[in-house]
Amino acid sequence: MKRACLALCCCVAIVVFSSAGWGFELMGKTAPDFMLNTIDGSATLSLKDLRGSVVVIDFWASWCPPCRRSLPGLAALEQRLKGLKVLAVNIDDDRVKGVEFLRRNRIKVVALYDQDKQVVKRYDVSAMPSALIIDKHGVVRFVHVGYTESDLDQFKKEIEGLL
Amino acid sequence: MKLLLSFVAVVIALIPLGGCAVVKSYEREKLADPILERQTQFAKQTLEQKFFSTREGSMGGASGIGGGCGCAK
Repeated sequence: MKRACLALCCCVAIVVFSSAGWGFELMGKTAPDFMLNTIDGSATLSLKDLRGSVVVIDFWASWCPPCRRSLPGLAALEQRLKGLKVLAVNIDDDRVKGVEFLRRNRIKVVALYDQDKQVVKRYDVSAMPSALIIDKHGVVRFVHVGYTESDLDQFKKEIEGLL
Repeated sequence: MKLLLSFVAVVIALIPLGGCAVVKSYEREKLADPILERQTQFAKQTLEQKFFSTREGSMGGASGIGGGCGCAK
């Protein structure tokens, strides 16, 4: 009986912790490159184009409540920190929802549209929102899953260390 | 015979698990619909807010929808 309980606990621990470690395999490695259209379809942007800047990639969707809170915070951070670029990768099924959200909240960031969810799949995002901080050489230095208001200070600290 | 029955019972118990699927976090748009939230009174509450804002000719405080004319925006 004891053994069965122990085995059950191990299984639960594996299930719980297997989803908790997103991004650690990306840490210290060059961020996978991608090329996406902006959400309004006016331009195409590649991650490589931003070498030389510290980049925050934020995966977000208009249907995700914490994403709706994190994006204005990151946009404000971009305004305050010179040399920082925020790439907001939207994964809505309908791009209009994302455009509408940005317009309504007057959020001015570079918003890209991951139409086929190829980028979010490639990064194997485990929860929404998820964000990565990439240094000037294109190397992933920080990964973050979820969002609470206090996380913004952590973002700021990490970014300032890379600028 | 007992062993065989146990085996069959386990197999039958496992069959429903075949219908389970892991939905990735970025594929949950439809599941994120507010109507699927635990709060079961969502539709009722929305309607009540709309009626309230129509009757009072004003809205706010409870994030009511629609204006004084009762039109959906």
